[in-house]
Amino acid sequence: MGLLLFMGVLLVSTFVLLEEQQERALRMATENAQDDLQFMKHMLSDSLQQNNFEHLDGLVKSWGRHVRDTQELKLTAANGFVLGHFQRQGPATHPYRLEATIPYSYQGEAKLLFIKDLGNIDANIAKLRWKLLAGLALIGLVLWRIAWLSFYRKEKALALDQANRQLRETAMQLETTRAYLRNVFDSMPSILMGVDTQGRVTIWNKRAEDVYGLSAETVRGRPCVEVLPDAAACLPDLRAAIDSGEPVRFERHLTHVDGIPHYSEVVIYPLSSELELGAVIRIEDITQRVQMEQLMLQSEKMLTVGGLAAGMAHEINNPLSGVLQSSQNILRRISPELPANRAIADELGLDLDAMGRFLERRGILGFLEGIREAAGRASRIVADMLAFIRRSTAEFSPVSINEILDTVVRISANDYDLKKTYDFKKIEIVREYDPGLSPVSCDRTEIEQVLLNLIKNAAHAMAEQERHGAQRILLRTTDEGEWARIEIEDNGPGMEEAVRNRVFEPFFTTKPIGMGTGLGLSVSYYIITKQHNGTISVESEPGMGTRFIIRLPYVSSPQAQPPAECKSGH
Amino acid sequence: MRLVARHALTIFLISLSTFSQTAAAVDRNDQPLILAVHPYLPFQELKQRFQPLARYLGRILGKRVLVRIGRDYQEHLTYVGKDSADIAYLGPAGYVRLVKKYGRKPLLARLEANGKPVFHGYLVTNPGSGVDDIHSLRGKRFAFGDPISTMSHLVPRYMLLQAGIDVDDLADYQFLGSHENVALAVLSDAFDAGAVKEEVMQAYRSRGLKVVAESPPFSEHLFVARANAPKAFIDQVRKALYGLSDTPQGRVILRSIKPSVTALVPVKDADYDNLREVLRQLKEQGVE
Repeated sequence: MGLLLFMGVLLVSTFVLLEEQQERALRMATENAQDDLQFMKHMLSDSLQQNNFEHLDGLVKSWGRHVRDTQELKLTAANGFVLGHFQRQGPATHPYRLEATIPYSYQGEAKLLFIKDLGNIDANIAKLRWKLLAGLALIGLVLWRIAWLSFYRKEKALALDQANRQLRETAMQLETTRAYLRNVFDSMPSILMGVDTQGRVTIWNKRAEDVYGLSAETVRGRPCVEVLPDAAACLPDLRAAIDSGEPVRFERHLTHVDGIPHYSEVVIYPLSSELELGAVIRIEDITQRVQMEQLMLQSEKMLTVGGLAAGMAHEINNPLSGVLQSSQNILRRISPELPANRAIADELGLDLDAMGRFLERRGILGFLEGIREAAGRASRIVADMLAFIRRSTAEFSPVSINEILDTVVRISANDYDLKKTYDFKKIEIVREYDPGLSPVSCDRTEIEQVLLNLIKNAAHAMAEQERHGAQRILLRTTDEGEWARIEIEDNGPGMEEAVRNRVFEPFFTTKPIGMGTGLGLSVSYYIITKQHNGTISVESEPGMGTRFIIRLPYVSSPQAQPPAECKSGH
Repeated sequence: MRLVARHALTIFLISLSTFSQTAAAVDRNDQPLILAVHPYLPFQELKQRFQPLARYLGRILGKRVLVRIGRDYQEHLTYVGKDSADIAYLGPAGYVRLVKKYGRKPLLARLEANGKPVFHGYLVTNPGSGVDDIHSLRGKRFAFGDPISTMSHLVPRYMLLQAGIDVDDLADYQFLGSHENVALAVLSDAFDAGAVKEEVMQAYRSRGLKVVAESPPFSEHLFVARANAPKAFIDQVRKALYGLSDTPQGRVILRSIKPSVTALVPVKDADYDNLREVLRQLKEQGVE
């Protein structure tokens, strides 16, 4: 609206200006025409005074042709004879007539008629008018364009704003997705490391941060070789995976952390996105799995060996029973005190007393007794082994801890150590039993396994230490009200705090590879705490020996029961 | 001995003279011919009018012919009189004066305008002048052309004298130069009457010019040759000039000299005797 008003004012002003200009131009043109007329008058007057008539027509025509806007120029003698005449073709559009008289010869005056066509001025003004109108139209067009553009820009700005909003929303979604992905990555138990084609780190998850102690911000963008020196060996595989588009997998990649062997599974997944090339490396710590597999293997082996041993024990038990029984029968049948023996001796004329003295003096009776004792001991060993191997389901029954300890000592003494790393017979076993200790409700086999494990560990520990003094294992049982306390103490090398804190962790072992699985104490811990609701702890100082303390409730059951309940039940 | 020496010198001088003449003749053969024209019109106009004729003659004569325009009537007469021009074009009065001063020249041809080899002079007036005949010119203002012009001064002066009117009997008289200027001055009533040749009278008759008196016929303008021109040359030129009217191209050349020219015809000195008589009488009256 404002634009239209402005254009209207401009138009009116222009036309007013044009009118003024036209008037002014006409005024100037008429003044010029007067000047022209005077000039011609003088010029023609000279010729007339000099009676130079023949050039007059030429002068008039020449003037008429060359002076712009001359419509007609006519010089007439006093008698009406036309001395010179010029007339332009076509009618004048705006004729302006001027006349003058020129005296000549002796009488009369020549008349000079000058008609100037001011139409050119009108035409020029008209042209100017059209030009101005065109100019105004152009200005209007430009202004309209500017207005339109500003409107369009506003629209564009709105569109841009909307686009920005959408962009922000997209960015937020992207951020959410990124956070979600980040969460996914961070939640993965495996180490995830993304690399680009140049091998620079792009992804570094929480697990990787925890394991390697390097934050994602620190490592992002750095060469993976710099971050993980071990990765240098994998670079060809990384390149191969990216080039081929096929994942590359390494199992049981062995590394050592603080000297402890760790197994990892490394999988390189190539990224085949059009946007980004590279790979994601997943590193999973499979140490436990590998160790579990080793244990399983060992267990299978043990089961096989156990089965063989059980069969063998059973087969040995029969002849052994025969030996034992026969040795007992021999002793009984040479005894002079048995009436049946005397009757047969009398009948045969044999002096039983003399034979008794003979057998005694020759030590035959001692041999026979030895045979009986040896057979009996062998029979007990076999029975114990069979009982240990049997692995019956958990069956809680009141058991004397002191008795279990003795049994375990016996088994330990007979434990066949293939590598001969220790000799149990050299170890002094000191028993400090509480004779009044009540039987404890427990799974005998399980507790036997725990105690055997602890005693064997003590023997191992002492064997590793080269010492001059006697190796000694102290077995102590004490009554603690609701608990039976069992202590197994050695005078071995003791443990550092770092080792002490981890002894119950699965697969933690300080024994050489192949010597231990690292599961013994963790299984013991499980048996005592979970199956019997008891406690197990360790006290040790380097050079001061080690003491394991087991506390078992007197009353327990195969079901997991809270210790409080156990205590109250006692 | 002195006599021998004198003869020897004479013989040497004669030999030298003979050699010079031979050399001059040789030079003359190489030089272009000159066609001299009296200045009765502006220079360029005359050049244009006579250039076709010069080219024509050059072709016939086997030589280049240059057109020379005289500075004025007197200079032209002197140039022609001294035989500087090979061919010359002259007005009737000019020819009479030339012969009188420099002797006869070989005549080549005279113009024939509108079929007549003669022309007239006219005394003219405008319709409002009140002049009816030559006698009523007394006490009037009279315009002559050039003082040496045959038809705008000498013949009219003779006619006036014959009518008993001298210039002193006129209210005023002036020499206005050209015949056209005289006609226009009379028509615009700057003068009551004037004298013009026939051609101009015809041109302005339609615009109101009125004839007061007509002169007797006088022989037309003519071509002459230099006095020392060889007869063969004169014959060759005459033949060429006479033959112009026989061909369309020749007629174009003739019209180029003046639109009314129809031919170039033979001429003899006696054709100018009446004019010679007029001039003699004028001289007696003190008019030259």
